[in-house]
Amino acid sequence: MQERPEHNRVWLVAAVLFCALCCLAGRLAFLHLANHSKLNDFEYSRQLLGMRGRIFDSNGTQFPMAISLTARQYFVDPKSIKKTHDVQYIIQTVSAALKLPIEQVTECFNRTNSRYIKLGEPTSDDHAMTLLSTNKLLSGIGSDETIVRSYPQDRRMSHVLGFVNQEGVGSAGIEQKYNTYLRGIAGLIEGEKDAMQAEIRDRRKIDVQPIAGSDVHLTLDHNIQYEVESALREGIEACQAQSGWALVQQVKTGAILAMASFPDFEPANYNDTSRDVWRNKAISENYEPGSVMKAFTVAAALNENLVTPQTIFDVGEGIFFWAGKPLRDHVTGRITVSTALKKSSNIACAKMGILLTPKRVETYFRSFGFGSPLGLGLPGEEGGILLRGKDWDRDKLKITRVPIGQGVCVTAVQLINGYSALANGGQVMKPYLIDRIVSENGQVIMKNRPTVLARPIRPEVARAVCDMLVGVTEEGGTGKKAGVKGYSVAGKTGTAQQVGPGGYSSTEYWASFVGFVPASNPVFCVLVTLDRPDPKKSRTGGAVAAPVFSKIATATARYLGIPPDVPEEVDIDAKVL
Amino acid sequence: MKRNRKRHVRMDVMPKLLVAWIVTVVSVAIGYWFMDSKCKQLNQEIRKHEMKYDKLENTCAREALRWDEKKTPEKLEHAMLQNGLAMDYPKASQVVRLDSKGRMIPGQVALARINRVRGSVSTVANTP
Repeated sequence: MQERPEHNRVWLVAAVLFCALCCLAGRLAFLHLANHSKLNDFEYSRQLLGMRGRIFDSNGTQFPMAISLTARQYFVDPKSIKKTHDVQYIIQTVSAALKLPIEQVTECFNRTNSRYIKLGEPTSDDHAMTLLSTNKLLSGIGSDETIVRSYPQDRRMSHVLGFVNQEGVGSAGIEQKYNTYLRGIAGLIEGEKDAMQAEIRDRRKIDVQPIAGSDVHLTLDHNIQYEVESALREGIEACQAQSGWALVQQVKTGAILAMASFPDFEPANYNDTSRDVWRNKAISENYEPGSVMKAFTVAAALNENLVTPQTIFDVGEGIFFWAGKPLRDHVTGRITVSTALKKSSNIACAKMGILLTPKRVETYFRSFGFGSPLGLGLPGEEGGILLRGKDWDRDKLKITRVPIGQGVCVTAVQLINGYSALANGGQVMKPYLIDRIVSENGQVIMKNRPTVLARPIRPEVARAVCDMLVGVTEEGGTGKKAGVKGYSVAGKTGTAQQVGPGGYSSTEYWASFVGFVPASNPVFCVLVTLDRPDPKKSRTGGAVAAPVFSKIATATARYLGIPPDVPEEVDIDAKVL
Repeated sequence: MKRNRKRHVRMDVMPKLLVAWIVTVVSVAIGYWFMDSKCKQLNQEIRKHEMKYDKLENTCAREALRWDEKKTPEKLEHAMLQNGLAMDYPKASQVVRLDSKGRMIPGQVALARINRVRGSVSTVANTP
């Protein structure tokens, strides 16, 4: 039987189709089973940068103190510059776009020892990025995505914030201490790319999104910090001191509202200053506080019922011998404990120390937080130096020197915390400057709450000491310049000789003032210390540190909206109702 | 008859099952191709949106930084000085403090002034 021609054609088409299918199957088998080295060229991999968490002040997210931005790090590969391109034109364009000196860019292009030569710092300038990515006359220029840390308020809180090094790791301050919380976790995308090197989205095999770091909220307020830094800078310039630091602490909670140290630095350009400048002296400088320690000696003596504010001490002609060494005083005659504090009598306070005995002096000072770090939560915190047990026996002189602030070293944060305890009814609070840490999804990971560390003195004793400290800023006191209009101030001056080669220096001093406002119901405590004010000018705490205190306390009291407790000016015929 | 013969020929060309199989395979292939191209198109759009989102996010962050840099206390102070503005805290006589319930706290200088003004207003109002 003869087949019809239509049948042949159909079978022919079917055979062709079958062959095509076989070819496709063969290709499929080849792609699956054969060597994939060529296909590897199409593999696409991209790391997604995990943004570092932000740091905010106490005003919430409105005022970031540190944030991270994506930027591009441009580099030059001299070997991949096309021969048809004009190198001079490329250099000029790059120089203009990245705002780099033309000599610097030329030098980068002339180097032949590397195929990855960085062109300046990473930039986040949109204009520059557009200019460099769209110009087809450029070659040999590449870029990597990177993260840069920005500090919107430049130098503000520089010692507290610290900085991030070039590898993106926190290397000082909060950035270092809370690096684990702040650092983000990178994500990853893997898949395939097309001939234009762009990712083929539907061939994406791995898509792990990055996790941003947690945000750190500080207790510091940038407005108070600004006032503190301004006043401190002016104070240092006025007395030509070498350095200085100032703190503001909330009395009831122990929260630090401001912490400044001078000279300061720009966290974004930390390499422009020396390493010594990076040190936060408010927590890392152990120094002899001088007369500011007398308040704690008086508090201890009152708490032990050894004296009352009216107890009289005879300081004689202003010289007192103990262990064969003289102790000099600018106060003479018979004075009460209250006057001893007001006029800062060395002899009266030394005698109170003798009454207390070394053991009790040490116990009280340790209870107030001296001699060991307070655990503020910043790297480099020192603990001060306070004699222990048998050390007192070795040097009999110490019992007349430590109570007046010699032979004992403290840090600024210990000192302000001790005064806050006096203002807080004798309760020593744990100082802190991190309010909370909040994760990317808004969950509070860590929250600091006010913690009582110790209660070294009774509330009535603390009140009595506060009343005596008010006298320091009144007429006849050593800290009259610390007065704040409209508010009562309690505080104490301190002028301590610095130790140098061969003993105490006669020209180098620490000048301090520490006090709280308002004295009737303390809200905040301020400490100011100036390091080596010019000896040709005034160098006492009352002359150089007290005016700085006054400026800071005035601004802080008004900013916090604290009602005045001293009638300011009775206006016209209006009477206070 | 001719027409019937033709129809018969067509029926005999290929088995019905094979035709059905080919039609199914081709339909699936076309469907697959159509969906694949649609997916690719969507993926490209997603990719473009992802890139646009990243770019906008970065721009937004940079603008926020620029704004943050502009509202620092010293910049505000400088801007005010440039415009001849000076700010100071109010005097005690200009401040009226209220308690948590919104009542005036007694013992304030400003209250005396308020009461005096109220008194003078009421005196004027009562004058015939």
